[in-house]
Amino acid sequence: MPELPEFLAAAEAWLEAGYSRVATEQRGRFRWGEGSDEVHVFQEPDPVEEADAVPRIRAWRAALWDGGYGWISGPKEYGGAGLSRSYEAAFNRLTRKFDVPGDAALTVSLGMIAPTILRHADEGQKRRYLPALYRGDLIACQLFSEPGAGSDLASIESKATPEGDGWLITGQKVWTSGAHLADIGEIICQTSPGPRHHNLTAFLVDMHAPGVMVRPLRQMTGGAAFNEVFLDGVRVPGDARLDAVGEGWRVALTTLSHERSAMGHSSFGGAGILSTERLMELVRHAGNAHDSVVRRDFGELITQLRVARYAQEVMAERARAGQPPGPEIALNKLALSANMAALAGFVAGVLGPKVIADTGEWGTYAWTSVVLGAPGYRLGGGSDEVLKNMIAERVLGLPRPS
Amino acid sequence: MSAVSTRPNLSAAAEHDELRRTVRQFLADMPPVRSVMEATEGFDRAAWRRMAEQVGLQALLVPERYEGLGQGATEANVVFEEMGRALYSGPYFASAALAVYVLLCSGDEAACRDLLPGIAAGTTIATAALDGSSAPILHGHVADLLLVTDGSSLFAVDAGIQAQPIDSLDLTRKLATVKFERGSARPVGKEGGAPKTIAAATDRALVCLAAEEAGGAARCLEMSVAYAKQREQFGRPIGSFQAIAHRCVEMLQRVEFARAAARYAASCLDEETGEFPIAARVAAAYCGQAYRWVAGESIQVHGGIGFTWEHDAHLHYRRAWADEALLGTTDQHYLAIADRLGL
Repeated sequence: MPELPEFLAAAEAWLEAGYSRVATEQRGRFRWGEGSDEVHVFQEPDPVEEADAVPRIRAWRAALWDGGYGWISGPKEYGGAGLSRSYEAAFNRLTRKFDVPGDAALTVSLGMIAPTILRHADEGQKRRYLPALYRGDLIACQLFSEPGAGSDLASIESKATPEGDGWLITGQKVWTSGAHLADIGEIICQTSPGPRHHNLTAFLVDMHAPGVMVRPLRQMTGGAAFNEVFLDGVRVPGDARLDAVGEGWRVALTTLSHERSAMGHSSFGGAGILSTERLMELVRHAGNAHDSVVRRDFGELITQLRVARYAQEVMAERARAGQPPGPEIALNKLALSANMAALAGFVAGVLGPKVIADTGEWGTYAWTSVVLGAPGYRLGGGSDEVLKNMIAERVLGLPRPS
Repeated sequence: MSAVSTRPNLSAAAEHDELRRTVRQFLADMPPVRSVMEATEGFDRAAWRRMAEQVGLQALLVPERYEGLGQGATEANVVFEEMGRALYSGPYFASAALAVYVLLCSGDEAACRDLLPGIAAGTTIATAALDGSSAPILHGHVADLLLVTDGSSLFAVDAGIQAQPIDSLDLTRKLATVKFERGSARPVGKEGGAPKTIAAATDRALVCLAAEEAGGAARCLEMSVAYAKQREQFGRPIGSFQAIAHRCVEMLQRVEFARAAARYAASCLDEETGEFPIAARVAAAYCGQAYRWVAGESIQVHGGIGFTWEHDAHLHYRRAWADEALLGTTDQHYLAIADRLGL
């Protein structure tokens, strides 16, 4: 195993050879009035931009994979580099110095579905899917929620029935991020009438198969970051089943725990909208940097955002030391939804009338997307209320809440 | 070369289980806080001596060249969490953290050499009054050494201290009014150097206080969850009602985040990262608020029994409210964060 400094030196040389450096003074720096003032709350790119971006993301993943950096912490037998997570984290920090496409669009694919496959798939599936996902040859989505199964996810009604040596899937899924880009979907279906939690089975369904229809779902922000997915007699082969028949609930729990962790990761906002510099510029340009109430509120917001980051760093460090987080990881998601709501309140207070009507002034009305997006954060990734039930039972050991 | 690192080292925390066990056991063996809080001094001197002789806790943050253990903020974080859990009522925070940090931050070699060994040995009880006013002083009534300021310079007073304990909200951490002879004051650090020293020492002491608050909040949560499992109403444990269960989860979140914030800030201090000035105030603000809220909700989860004199819930509640006025209020911390970030 290479020492970390050697590893990083080699990685930097590799990045240097293929990508341009971001000038130090520009890196992560927010400049008022420059470029787009869009405030991204959900990933809802313009379809044209997206069509352009996806091939670049796939090319970036392929280059990473071929360079040996595609799955740094992954087991060697599936093409990973077999190094510890600290190498991966260090590499990811290093990439921020370069102009690279990044993996934000692959959060579901690599942050949720790939770890589920690693844990639940059989040997053949691991070899087939893991390199393809990390290489960007395949993009995956998560087909869980249904119109009738939201908080009560175990009441899923999509059905998979045996047919020949495969299965036939019929049902409707909703709130699926990235389904329109995905090549495969992790789907949970009912495979028997009961008993509850033991009647579900997970599959990896080909999103290009006949009978799969994906329709954008427009949310209250006006954009469409999610999809509805209709499956009408979709034929899936027998080797597309993930883990045993009746084990779907356990598979789903694995994916959900990774989802909460992946969601919590944005609670301090590398994404930019929670950047300290951006918020300070907003306050300055709104002309209330000298208002002591605003300064106090700013300090409070920063406190909440930073503590969310500190908590994640402490958890991540514990994980690296061999104590991976249990269900308490969901605390990060609770922090995220609280922080989005706090951010909405803060910017609305700072902007006043500028947040209710578009005067054309740069960087003002754009913040309405936080005001409109914040409620979704409380619902997504398991509603805050359902997560509190889960934490009460599984972390605090309280009797199942009712 | 003392390179300023950019990332704190959080991994050390796992190595401190042994320290935590030792401190927890030591505090568990002490006379119950209720028996000592009624006494004038408010703490048990024999236990204070044992703490110094058997565990050496008073020496924790004192560098080895001043006869201390030379441990860092990360180790202190563990000790203060335990102190907070146990509502330790002696002058540990005042003497072993606040006064030690004031002396160290003053950069006064001679004063450190003369005064720190006694503090480390537990034979000197020190405290500090840093706002220059006549406000009550933490443990002033038992202090052998007083660090005071006239707003411009710092002084150490170790003779002719006249102190009077006064009624205070926090029954487990006493305050006193203090008078002393100006003639007996020894200058500490550079003339006019007090504001800088006090600012640096306050940030450091706040990180200890934050850990103490996180520990106190953790204890409130523990008591609440245990009670919610055992207390039955409407024929079932109250912890099975979402109104109680969700409240307990919200308490857990604040406890976990408070502990992380204090630990992170401690690590920033030990690793001298550039984020320390922000992290210190973030931890101070967050932990202060968290403890106050958790202690208040803990009374509610306990219901009527939580509002009785005999239950410990109010001891934490009192401590939490008092803490928030000790070294700056939460709002002052928020404003400091805005200042320090350059808003």
